[in-house]
Amino acid sequence: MRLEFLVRRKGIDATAETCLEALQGLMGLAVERVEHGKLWRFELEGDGERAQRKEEIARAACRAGRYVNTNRDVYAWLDESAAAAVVPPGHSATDLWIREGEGNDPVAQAYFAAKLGARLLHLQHGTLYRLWAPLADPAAARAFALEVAVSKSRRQGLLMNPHSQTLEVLRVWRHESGEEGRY
Amino acid sequence: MTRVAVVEFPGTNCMHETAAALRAAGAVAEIVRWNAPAAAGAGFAAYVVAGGFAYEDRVRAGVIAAKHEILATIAAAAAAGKPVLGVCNGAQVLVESGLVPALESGRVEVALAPNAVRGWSGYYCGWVHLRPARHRGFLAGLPPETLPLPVGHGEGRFTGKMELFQRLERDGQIPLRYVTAAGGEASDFPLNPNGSLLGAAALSNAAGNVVALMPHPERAAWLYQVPETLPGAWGERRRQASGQELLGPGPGLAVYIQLVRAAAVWSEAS
Amino acid sequence: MNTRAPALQLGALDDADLAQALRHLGLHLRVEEVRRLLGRLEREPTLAELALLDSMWSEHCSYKSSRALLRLLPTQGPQVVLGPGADAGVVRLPRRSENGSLELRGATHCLALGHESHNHPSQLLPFEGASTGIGGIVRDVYCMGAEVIGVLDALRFGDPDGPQAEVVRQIVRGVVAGIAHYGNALGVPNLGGEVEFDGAFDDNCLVNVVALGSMEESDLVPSRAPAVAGEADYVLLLVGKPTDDSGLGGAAFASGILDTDEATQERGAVQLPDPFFKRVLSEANRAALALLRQSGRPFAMKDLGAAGLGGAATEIAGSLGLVLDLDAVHRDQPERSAAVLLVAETQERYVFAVPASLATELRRLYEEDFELGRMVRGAGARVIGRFDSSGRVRVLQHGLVHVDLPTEWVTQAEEMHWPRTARRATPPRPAELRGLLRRDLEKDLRAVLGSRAGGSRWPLFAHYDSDVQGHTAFRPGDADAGLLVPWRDEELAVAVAVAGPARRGSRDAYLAAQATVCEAVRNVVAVGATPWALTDCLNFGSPENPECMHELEETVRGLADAADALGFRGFPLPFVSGNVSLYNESRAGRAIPPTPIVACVGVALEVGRCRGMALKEAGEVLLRLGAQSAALGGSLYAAVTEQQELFLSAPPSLDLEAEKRSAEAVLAAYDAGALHACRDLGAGGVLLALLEMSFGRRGQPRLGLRLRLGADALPVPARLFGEAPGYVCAVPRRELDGFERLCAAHGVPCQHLGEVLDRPELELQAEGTDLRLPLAPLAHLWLQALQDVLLEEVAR
Repeated sequence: MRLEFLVRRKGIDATAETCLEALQGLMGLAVERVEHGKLWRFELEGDGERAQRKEEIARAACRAGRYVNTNRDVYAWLDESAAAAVVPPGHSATDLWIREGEGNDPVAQAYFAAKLGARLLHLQHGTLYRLWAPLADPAAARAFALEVAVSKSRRQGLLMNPHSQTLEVLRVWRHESGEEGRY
Repeated sequence: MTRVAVVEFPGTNCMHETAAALRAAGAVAEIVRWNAPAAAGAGFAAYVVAGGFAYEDRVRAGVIAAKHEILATIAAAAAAGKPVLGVCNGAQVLVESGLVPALESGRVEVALAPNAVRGWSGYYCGWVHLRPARHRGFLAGLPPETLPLPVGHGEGRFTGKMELFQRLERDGQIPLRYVTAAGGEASDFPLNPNGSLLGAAALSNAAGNVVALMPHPERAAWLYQVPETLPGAWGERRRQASGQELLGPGPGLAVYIQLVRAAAVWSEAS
Repeated sequence: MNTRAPALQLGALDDADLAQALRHLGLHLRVEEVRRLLGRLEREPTLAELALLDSMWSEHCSYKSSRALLRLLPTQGPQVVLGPGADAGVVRLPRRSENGSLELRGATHCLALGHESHNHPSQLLPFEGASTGIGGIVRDVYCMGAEVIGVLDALRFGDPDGPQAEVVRQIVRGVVAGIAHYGNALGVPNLGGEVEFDGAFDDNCLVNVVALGSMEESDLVPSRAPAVAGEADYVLLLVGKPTDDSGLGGAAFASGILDTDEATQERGAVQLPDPFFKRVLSEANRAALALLRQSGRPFAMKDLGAAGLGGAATEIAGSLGLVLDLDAVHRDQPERSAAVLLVAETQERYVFAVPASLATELRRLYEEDFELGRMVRGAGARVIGRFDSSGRVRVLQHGLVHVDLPTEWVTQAEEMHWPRTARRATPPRPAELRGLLRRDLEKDLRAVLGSRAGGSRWPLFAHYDSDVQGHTAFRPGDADAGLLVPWRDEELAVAVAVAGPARRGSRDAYLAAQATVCEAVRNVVAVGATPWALTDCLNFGSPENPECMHELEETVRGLADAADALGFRGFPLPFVSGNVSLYNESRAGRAIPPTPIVACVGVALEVGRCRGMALKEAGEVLLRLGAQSAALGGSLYAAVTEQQELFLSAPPSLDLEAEKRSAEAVLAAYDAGALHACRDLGAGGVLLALLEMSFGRRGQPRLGLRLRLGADALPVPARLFGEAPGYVCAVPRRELDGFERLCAAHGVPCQHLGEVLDRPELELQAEGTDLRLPLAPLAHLWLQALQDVLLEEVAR
């Protein structure tokens, strides 16, 4: 069972702001907005008690402010609506997950393993960037996101260096008819 | 008069002592801001991209600074054979600009990644020892003895494909490596402070005129900066020194002297 | 004539309703304070007026509960340019006279000193709280016109092995990471600090920070608008981040007692650090100050701290008047209330009082040359007010007058005089020393070295950049004080150290305060510098608790008496800056022990004369300076070895005259070039001090110790671990005679301890003891003592 835990800042995220300024102002790219957070991917044995496992993870993460400090952060589950991007027509938002190497963290893994009611097979974490662009077609959005992300030369790419980091495109959010798009 | 530019990005914080070290090395040093008009940024015989925390290392150390247009000026200088030195954050800027190692000019070919060592997490401040290696560029003139310098960084691990690094080593593009005080291999923290492949403390381009250096020579340019307990000749010099001698040169000045010399040679040749 | 903004309706309320109304508004003003205000105002206040006064009259901003006491501190001296009361204290540094003494005539170099606390925010959000603590203190020094050249930190954490271990460890890691991140990114070196772990701080950690700045006296920037601003065309320029609601009412918030249940409600009250923006802004300020100085026109500058824009604007106005237009204030959202704009604690902002004619050029400098608006969205420089000679501060928004008060009302909170009663003193237990003779010395030594209190602090401070700016000669771990060469082409060196009470604090506040001053002084003298100025931060519980208030008074008296008695080379030792942090207790009423933190700055005319703690060569003679004592009460040794009765026995006594004499002896020994290394004797006593001289910053002993303690009435553990104040010195043999004569001439007792060995071993011979131990394993034990608190690793 895969559970993906997203932690974001309340209020202003300085990295997101600076990233947007770099993409728009320095690189002239048509990125409309950047969201930024940390994503933890838990691979657990078994399939059941999803909600129970989520509760355990959240509690462990918040305990003593260890990985989440509720004075500063909010958390959400990537498979739940609180983490969803509500996109206006003609736009999309692409979730990019960037890890240092594989994103392994033996200390965090040992910590969570001890706190979970099911066996923790693997834990990885990394940075999540959500790039909003005026591109409705998911293939185009994905291609654009990769172009923005992968540093190949000085002018090409920003978000990840392929010689030390791993990139995964998690999802392209599109406009769901019937929903009001909002930023 | 050899004019050297010290490049300052938003968040760079080592430019003042870097300029002072260059002056001590005989250059006329001028701090040039990231948004200086192109004419103001050109016309120097050498460029030093100073250390610090440009953009607070947001997204990744050095990557946002690398997008500024002044890098075009620096790239042109590099292509023309002028000496270009990036110190610490400056090294990260050069790597993210594809100016080092630049096997294919302008391509990003390696990374300066977060430190990964046992027994420590994150930023580390301490002194290391460096062994100069065969090199074509301006650091070739460094004395052969072990060079002690301080480091202060959290993202100083040169990494990428091992085959690439082995090739760089063969081709003399790893001018300085972390060693023990006695000059032997240093694979563990803290003598290798970041886990760099092959213990690389610096990388250069093929011609050797562009160097990305993680340790801070301007923090060792004066003898008073040397720790009393440093093993080796420089520590001994520090312990024996008195009076004005302490305001004299430290081990790091040699790096800037080599750069200024190379800049002077370039100026004369052109 | 503008209309007044809607007023509150408070005058008709009874006390209970008024108290509730204030709470409902999120204000901490007391009912009495509001009634007094209503009486003087003769009308109802607006919300903005009340919010402004709430902030300015808060404990954190106004020192209302402590101001009367702080007047007891000595603050004068020929070296003092600006004493307490300014954003930072400023002292002149001496130059060398013809006969080699310290001379102030013709000396132009100055040092600016600031000392602040950021306790409550660090308990809630350790990283951000500690970060913004550094951010705040450096601003206080920058706005004097100085360049910040160093910071220090004094920390108190709870018990990392006790019932709150998990929380404590997260706080330790967050605070250390926060201090490191801010200082390193901004680019100011960390020159030292001190840290203690004690369960008494489980719910209330302490984060005190000190900043030093260098400048020429002619560069000093006033904090008050020049008198001419009342007549000529002077404007108030606000530069930096756009104002938002961060840290809202933080000053008032910090004055309220921290309650863990309400912790999550306080989230809006914590500020966001931005050292990147601060560095850009500092470079921009440097250029702006150059422009202003070149203009030849008088000007003033202040940073915005607790009490935000309203506080800074009224303080810079001084006795002049000011009309502030909130519509001109650059902000994060278009609609922000007047109250929020006045008291928000958005970081990284300064105000200038400048001639209107220079405003355009200054704006261009900030917004185009340094592109502030691209560094942080909405950042910039705006003219937001005009000075006049009315003596009133008026704040307008959308054409309505939200504040109309005499400027001096706002800045002068009424002093509060709380009752005080002495705590019933528990007499010290009798010291039973015979048991010491039976102890296993090696086991005790290993316990001390491996303890949280005695172990190496390297796992903390090696995260801090100690070398940036290139002025550092001694970094943390090199000596008992940090040492800087602020002017690279001059030998003048500045030493700085910070000290705080260890275990004794709760027992006798007066003595603990004196001991703290003495320790800070000894740290500076130990490197060969003459103590020159002091700063202090007083961390206490609630002043509404009479016993606590009594301890505060005793502490201030102790600090004052110690500083008055000390003073070297013909100069006094004044306090030039300070801070008071009260209400450090949880709602449950658990207050912290009285914790005065004292920083001492010293000067050495030549960096070459100074010595770090490291042993230099085999054969050096090791000596102890100062009177010996059998007292082990309150000692690290007694605490770590769990000898409770011994711990509760009397601590060593303090003799200020003897402190002065021994400091002068050490300085004279430095003058004679007789010292290779010197350390202050403090926690852990002689043996720990000597071992650290061998270990060095990173626990790599090269030289060792041969200690021979002759027959003596004092038991060996008292001689090795006793904390009677003094110094330990490593003297080259050829200097020994001269050194001993010098000590005798100064009336300072001096005991031979042994000599330095050419190999990393400890040989200890004393009555009933013959110990030979290799030092490398001991150094490793010492180096690792705090490692697990700072870093978790998975066992291999």
